[in-house]
Amino acid sequence: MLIGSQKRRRFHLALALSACSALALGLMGCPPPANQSGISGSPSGPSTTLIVGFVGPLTGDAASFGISQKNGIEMARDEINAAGGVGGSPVTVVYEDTQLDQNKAITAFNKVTDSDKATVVLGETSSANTKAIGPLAQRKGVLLLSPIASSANLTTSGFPLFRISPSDAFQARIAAQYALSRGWKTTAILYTNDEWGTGLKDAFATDFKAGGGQVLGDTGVEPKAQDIRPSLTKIKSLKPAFIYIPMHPDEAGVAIKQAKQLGIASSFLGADSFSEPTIAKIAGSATDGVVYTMPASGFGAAYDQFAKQYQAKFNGAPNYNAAAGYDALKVIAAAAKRAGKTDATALATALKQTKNYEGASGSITFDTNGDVTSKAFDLKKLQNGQSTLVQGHIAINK
Amino acid sequence: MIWQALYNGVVTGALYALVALGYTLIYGVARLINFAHGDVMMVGAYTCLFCMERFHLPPAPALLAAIAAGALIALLIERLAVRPAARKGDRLAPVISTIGASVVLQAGAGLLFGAAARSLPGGKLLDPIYLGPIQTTLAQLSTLVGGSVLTLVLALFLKFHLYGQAIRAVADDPTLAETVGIAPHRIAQIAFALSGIMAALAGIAVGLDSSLRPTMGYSLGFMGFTAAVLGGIGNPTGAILGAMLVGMVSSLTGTYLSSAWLPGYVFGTLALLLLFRPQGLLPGRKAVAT
Amino acid sequence: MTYYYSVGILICVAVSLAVSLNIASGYSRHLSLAHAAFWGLGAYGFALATAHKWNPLLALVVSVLAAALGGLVAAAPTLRVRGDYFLVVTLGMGEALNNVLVNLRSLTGGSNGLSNIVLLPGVKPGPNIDYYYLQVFLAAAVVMVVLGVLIQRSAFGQALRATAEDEEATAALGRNPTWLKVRALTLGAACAGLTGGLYASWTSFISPGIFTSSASVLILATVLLGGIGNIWGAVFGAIVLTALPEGLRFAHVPGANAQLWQQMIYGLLLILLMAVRPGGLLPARSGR
Repeated sequence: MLIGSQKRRRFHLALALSACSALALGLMGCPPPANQSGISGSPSGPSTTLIVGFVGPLTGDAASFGISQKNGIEMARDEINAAGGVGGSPVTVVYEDTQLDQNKAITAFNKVTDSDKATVVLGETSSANTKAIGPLAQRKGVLLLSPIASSANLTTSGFPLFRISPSDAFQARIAAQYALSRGWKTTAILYTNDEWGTGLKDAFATDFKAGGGQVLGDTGVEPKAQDIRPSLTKIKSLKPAFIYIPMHPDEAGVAIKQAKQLGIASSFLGADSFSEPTIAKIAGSATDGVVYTMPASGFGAAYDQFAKQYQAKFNGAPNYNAAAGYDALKVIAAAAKRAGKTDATALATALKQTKNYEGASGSITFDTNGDVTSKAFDLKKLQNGQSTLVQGHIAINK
Repeated sequence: MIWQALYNGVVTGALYALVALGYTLIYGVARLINFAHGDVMMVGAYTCLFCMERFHLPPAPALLAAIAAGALIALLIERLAVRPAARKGDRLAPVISTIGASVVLQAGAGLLFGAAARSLPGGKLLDPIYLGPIQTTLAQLSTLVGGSVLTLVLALFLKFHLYGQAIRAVADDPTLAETVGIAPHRIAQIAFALSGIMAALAGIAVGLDSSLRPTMGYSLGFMGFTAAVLGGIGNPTGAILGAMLVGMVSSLTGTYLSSAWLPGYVFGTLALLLLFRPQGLLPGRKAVAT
Repeated sequence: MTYYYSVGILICVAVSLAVSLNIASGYSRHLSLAHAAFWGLGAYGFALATAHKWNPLLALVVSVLAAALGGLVAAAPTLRVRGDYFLVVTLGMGEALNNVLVNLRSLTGGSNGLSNIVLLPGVKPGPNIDYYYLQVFLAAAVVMVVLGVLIQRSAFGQALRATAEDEEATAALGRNPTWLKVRALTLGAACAGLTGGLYASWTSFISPGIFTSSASVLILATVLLGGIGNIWGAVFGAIVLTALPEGLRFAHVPGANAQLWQQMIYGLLLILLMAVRPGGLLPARSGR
């Protein structure tokens, strides 16, 4: 076994390491260095310089979401600065990539607020990561605004949050009302088994049943599932009038494709994921006739102006995410002008006063929770891979 | 509903069988779990898509190109990832190397084709066909028929052809095989190439029936591997048996219970089996338990 | 400063997980891809216990026990199978646990996760918690490293390494290889569980999406980089693989495909490493 010198070495090692840990534990009792407290003001520039941080997926699977928002924010920043900036100084925006990973979201948030001294953070793209950085924002007194996070439970998450996009609960309600108006009395729900899909399923079921409809059954499927036939076989046997399908594009496409192959006759009613071209790419003509809900955008003077400039700058039409990013920075700048200051508290108060702001992504009014309830939804239909409007600007009635 | 569910199970089983046979062949010959096997499937599917979209090839040549690509990638994996890492007594290093290969293939596919899901243009193959109480498509029937034919051909190859017998010899006892003059490297290459061919076909079947993504190999690969283990890894008949079992379990639990729990069911089955019979249903060439 | 503290905390977490993986299965070369699941069990154990108003310190004990239990359950069917086999089986185990976390919504909150997890006693809420937590995580990491080194040099560690080389011989010498592996796995899982409990307390929000197979693969990669069964190697690997992406933040590497290139490089590195230095980047320590 161990000879004498090895035993001694081992003892010394254990002693040294224990001493280190004891030291570390002891330090816990000491107060932190003095420059830790509260928000860090900008030591160099004037105190009215608005510094905004954006944290989101700029690389990885969800990169398209982050890049769209970034494009919109860039455009807004250029516009604001061309008109003189905020408080006489140009607005600075810092972008940090999170790859939609929770830990990276935390470090990204900390970096923009510590190193870059941002007092406002735009993020995150997923509801989970927003919940991860929310408490940080609260602790540091930083204003948090998410352009596109839409989970219904963010309203009751416990930390202050502003959102540009309406909660999924409304989307489900609009869908339920549409279904009832079509005289569809029975449904089966095929959903993606994650936060988004489950949230929509629950909200839809509640509203549909409240309106007199009957939910014959529901079945959840793993994200990116390849073989959805077992669930579809089950749903087919229930013979619902229509199928509500809150699924992400990858598996939604497979579901619709395999549903056709199984000879399912029920209509499909989808959620905003159906605006992605992936679904028609996978399922082809099987998607014809599918109706889905989508936050209303693509109308109004503000949008037209935005779309024109977006086309000129990025050589393509903007999508909803870009419009949301654009509006996010614009409402913040507007609030900063109203407040005359750029610290988070003043901004939050001023932001709450935003009423009927006509943005590229719709009309924005914040309620007391920081949610936007003024936006409308569209009902669209897919035909040959293109979306046409079925019913536009449906207001959310609470 | 029961007939459709059973039929779904059979078709899924046939698909898993193609994948499971690949795992079992490689394991029998090289004592190696090829983590990149699912990704070879993905390469086959994307090659077919690429040929049809970019070069506008008709289905038959695209299929052949896919098969060739599958065999080629499998051989490359053997030569570049597995062989350099294989050392006497170290079973772990080549396996980890195949993990590296898997990561490389997925990243490569992502860079070349993007992450968004695609589909193989099936056309008439995807029209619903009604066989009594069952709905199916030509694509599915082809998978069934093609899979069965392929399995039969493989069985005959293993039994009667010289190289097939050599594969069985190496799987049985590699040292003895070497003493009678069978070169283990050459046999490993053949096994990898065969697995690559089957994987490519499985990939095309999936591409027709559902969709293609750079990460499509992961879950199918895992199912195929589970099937191979269930049946007794190293034993081709076992692989087919295991595949049918896994296919049936997925289909029936998904239809009658809830597909939300599918990973749980499949893994639960595997764990139970390993608890009571680690060598699988049929005896493998070399027992898994030490 | 919280940026550097949070990066420091994440490095300590990575070190703890890598070292605990080595303890669990590095010495016996029965590498597992379920390690993130033990981490998750610890995190959820802490979150659920404190949600029921248990004292946070008691809740940390729950984390440790929950993960250890998980390790025990994992060990039972799987330790009779060989090392390379074990790798895939544990992968399935991790997936199954993730599936359970997502589906048992009433218990675990499902994909929504659990929010508002409490702070450790003695930490005042406010902008400075990262400073305090860094010290806690550092202490925990140090303790685990010490534990790892002590095991490496102990009879237990020697027996584990003997098991890795030749199980039959080890059994013939009177040590029960399966029992040895079970103990190691349970201990390693317990350490991962402790890390999980502390992690849950620090982030105050956890969801199944953190504790995935990809996370397990990353933990395995840190161990492989530094050398399986090599504690200091694990520390090295963990620091490199955590600090590197953060360092790249300041380098502003452009392109949406950056992550894919990064992935490809990791994969090629892995293949290269296995071909050239399967023992890891650090030289193998012969003094046992």
